[in-house]
Amino acid sequence: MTDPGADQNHIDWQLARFAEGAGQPAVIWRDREYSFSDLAAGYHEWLARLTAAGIGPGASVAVIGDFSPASVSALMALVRLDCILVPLARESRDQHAQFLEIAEVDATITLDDADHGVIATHPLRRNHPLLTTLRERGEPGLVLFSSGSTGKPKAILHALPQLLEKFRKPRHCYRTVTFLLFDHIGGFNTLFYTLANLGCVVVPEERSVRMVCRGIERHGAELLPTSPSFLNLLLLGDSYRDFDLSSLKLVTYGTEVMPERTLEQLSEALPHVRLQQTYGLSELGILRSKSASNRSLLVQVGGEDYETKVVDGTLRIRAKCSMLGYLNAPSPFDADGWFDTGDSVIQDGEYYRILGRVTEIINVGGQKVYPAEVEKVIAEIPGFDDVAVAGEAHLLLGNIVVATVQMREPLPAAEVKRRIHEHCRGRLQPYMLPAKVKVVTESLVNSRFKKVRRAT
Amino acid sequence: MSKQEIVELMLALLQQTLDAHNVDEGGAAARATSELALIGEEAAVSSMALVSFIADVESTLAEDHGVAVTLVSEQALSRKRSPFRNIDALADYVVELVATPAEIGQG
Repeated sequence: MTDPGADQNHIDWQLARFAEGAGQPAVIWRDREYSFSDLAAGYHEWLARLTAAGIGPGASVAVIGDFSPASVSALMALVRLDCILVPLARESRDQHAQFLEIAEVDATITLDDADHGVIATHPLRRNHPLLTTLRERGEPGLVLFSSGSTGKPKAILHALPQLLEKFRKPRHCYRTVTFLLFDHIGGFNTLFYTLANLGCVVVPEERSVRMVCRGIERHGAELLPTSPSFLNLLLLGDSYRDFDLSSLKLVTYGTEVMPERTLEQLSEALPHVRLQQTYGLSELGILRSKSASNRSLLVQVGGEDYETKVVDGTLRIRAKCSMLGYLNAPSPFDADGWFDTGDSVIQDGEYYRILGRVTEIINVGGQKVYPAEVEKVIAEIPGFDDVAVAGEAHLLLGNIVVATVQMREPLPAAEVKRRIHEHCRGRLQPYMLPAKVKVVTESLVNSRFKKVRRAT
Repeated sequence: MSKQEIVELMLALLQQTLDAHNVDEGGAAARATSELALIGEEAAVSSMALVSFIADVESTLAEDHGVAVTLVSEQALSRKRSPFRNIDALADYVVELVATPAEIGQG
């Protein structure tokens, strides 16, 4: 039986949902609640403003800001107008000029601190074949930029109807902290999932441990989708103890490998919270996932829209709603539509254990070293706040292992190396031991709360 | 730095490496001397331990003595007689690098 509303535009469907939850809070921004009616009103205003500015079907429009009542309303209006959305977080402002060029934007909406939006037009359209295809189909689109940690950022183009359709299936409704950024597939997913299920998004004033914890306490947030690096910082600081986090029901973590110690400490620190690993890629969307248990790194990924297989130890995925392609790189899909995730995995029955990015594997004299595996053992040493392991080219062994240790009260590198070797001997193979050790006081985590592993 | 100072610095670092190696292998610890073979069939250390020892020498020279040298280079590896054969040869090589500014790495 087909869903009678299947052909309905997603935004019309969403607005009908808003009417059901009219008076309920939809967005909490700067500690103020905005209801679903407020969002609907904002949406109609944006629809009128965009139309008056000559923005219509097929226009590529960047929205520069963060989650806010205006940005959510504007995004919805752009989807309804069959535009191509280019959400850009303020954090990546240094790259915006380049991003606007690649996404061939016709207009930008820049939101200020007071959540007022300014529309500006840009003559950057060059009719990229993929954008033209989408325009000819009359469908709204989404452009996301990969983080570019291993080269220049890639521009990922999705057709939105396919990406949004899955949200019509009713799921749990949560009060969710929008921790992941606005321009991230995870952030986008969080927003549309929450709106579809009449949940509420709590926007933290900033993505620091204190402000996120304060947001949870003050607004009774139930779901925190985040990264292992952020959770590591949270446990490290102890400041989470100053806040009442009893409203939290679920913490999801993804985007990088979770250290075992962090997961263990987290389940002790937040015993009432379910911990769930997530898995997704900008190219494919977020897969449905299920951790074997709170303390387990084994995860089932897939769901009805995804097929998975392992080839040469690397996870490959075929998705029903994968991207149309990159705007600035060749198609990564093979002839049968499979995508090589570049994630090295071990299969255990129906579960996978994600070991890390193939590009981060260090080849020491022909032996494979997984940074996360070495980091896990080094992290057991008391007095170290964080550790990042990376490879460095070496003429004798191809590569050597370099460990960068973060310490609030730094010790000489030689002493730290001695401690590491003493601790790791018997726990790691000799070729896994760091030949070089650096000691730093600043954080090893970037503004997106992902660990920076580059050695130099 | 004189060659003798460099040799002494290296001997201390090599002894640490040998002691650690000894713990791994469960055998008797070799005593570090400036003639002890570091490469070849008679090498007293594994290639991993050698690389780790060289990295220690580089970082100690840089941090404690302000001497920034890159010991493992194409130039070092292409020599007929390897500067890594023992501490005596390696100390000569450091002295040579320090005396030749073009060969001094920037850390």
